[in-house]
Amino acid sequence: MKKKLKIALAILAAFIVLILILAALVITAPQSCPYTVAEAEADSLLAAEIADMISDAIVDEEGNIPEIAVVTIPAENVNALLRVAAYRLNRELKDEGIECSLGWENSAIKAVACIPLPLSKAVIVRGTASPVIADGKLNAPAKGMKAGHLPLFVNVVKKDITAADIENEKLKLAFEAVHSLSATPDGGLKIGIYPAKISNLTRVLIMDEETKSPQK
Amino acid sequence: MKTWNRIVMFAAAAFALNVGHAAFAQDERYAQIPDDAALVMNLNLDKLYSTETFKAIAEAGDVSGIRDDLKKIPWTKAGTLPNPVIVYAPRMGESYAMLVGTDKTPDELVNDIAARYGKQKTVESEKTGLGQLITVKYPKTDKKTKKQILKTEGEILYLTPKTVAFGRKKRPLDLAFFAADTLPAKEFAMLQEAPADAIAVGVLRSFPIAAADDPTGLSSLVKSGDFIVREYEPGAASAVLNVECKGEKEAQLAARRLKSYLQITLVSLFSLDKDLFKELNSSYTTTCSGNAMKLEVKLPKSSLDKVRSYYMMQQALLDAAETAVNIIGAALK
Repeated sequence: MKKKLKIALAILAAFIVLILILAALVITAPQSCPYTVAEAEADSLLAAEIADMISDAIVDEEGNIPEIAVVTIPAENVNALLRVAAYRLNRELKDEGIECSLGWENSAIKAVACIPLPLSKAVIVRGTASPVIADGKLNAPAKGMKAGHLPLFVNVVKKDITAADIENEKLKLAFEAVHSLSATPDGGLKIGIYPAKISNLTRVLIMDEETKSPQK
Repeated sequence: MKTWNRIVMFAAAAFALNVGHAAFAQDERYAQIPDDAALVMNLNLDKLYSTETFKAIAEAGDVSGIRDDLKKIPWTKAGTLPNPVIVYAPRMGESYAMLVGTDKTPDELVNDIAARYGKQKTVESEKTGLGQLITVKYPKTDKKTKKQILKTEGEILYLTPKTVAFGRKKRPLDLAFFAADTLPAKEFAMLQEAPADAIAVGVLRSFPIAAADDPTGLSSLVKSGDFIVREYEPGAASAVLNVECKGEKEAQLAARRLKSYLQITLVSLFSLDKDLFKELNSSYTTTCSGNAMKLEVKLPKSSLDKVRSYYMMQQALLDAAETAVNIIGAALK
């Protein structure tokens, strides 16, 4: 009986040690994503340039709308767009204390999220993903996923996502408006858009605004 | 004869001055605009709802919401609907403030709202440092506690005896905004002197969106400006936007940005009717001269009628899709 108890205690102790090791690997000091308003303003300007690129692509010289419009966005503009998106997301998540940063590096989206824990501790999750859309399928294998120092062997993004897999109607319509998406050899992003399908998304967004409006 | 002429002229001048004074007194709203205001706009709802075409286009945006909310309050003794002055400021994000004229005292307004809604709504009135504040509330059952609570539907702040700031459920009053110093009314002379055919007139003191939140990039280029939308012929509209930019290069970039956004918006809205898109996409021009940039849009009645038909067709499609989804949803339950 004593022997069994000793074994049980040893297993329990080992389990606790394992949990402590895992906790030490996962839990670290909180990290803020330093990004100033001035940086957000500078990035907003770069992000706004994307509109010029899209505008040039979605209407040809004769003023017609092509079936597929191809836009190539330089890396610095993609990076600016993601950083501005993270800046706005952080403002929305301010109450929860969660902070995230997004960027475009080496043809991949780099994401960092700092999830606060009690006692001035936090879990910092990092990872990169290289999104590709082709033949109506999205593939965004995640790489280098880590929680603190602990590598995570999970792929948060399912392989070969199709429009049918997307439940959110707005995301689904946005996905359907994209013909293709891939990184360019110089680290930029090349997107093929179906201009005619953008209006489907716009219609839903307008309807959504009308529904949200209190007087309707 | 000369004496009579003088008397008639004097009487006419006195009458004109009186009318002018009365018009200015009615527009004391323009003396209540806080110095943080970036864009101030006078919206002529009567004109906007005068034709089916304009009405249908207005229904597609937030304007119908403004009108519906204004209609909930009995603002004037004559029962007319006042036109609002809408004020945007970067501090308000996507929201805005609204200034409305009334010829009723706070007590009269409280009584008239109470008489109109009876027990459906609760009306509270309190004195604040800024003026009398009337709050209209409606009862709602709290989802969690299942208890009846009162939710604010409208807020009316008397800034002067005839001017109120009007806040609504999703766009509540920002009292700190109205506590700031006001601007000289002469800054908004253009709004006060708007021609009768104006649908909307606006004065841009600075870009109304904070630079970090501005997806257009115009905030770093534009200094000030004004715009007017008119019904230049029955059922036809024209718009002119004059903008002063921070420099010559900025003016050219602003024109480019504006054109890009107009083009993207038109593709987003009208890409299913390529002919209509082409017609609308060629309806505007941008010109630059030194630091100034000008956008001119002219839409004949035929174009606006097509926009209305397109919008109604899209609405019918949306309604049909919504009905189908509801039927399928009900069948699956």
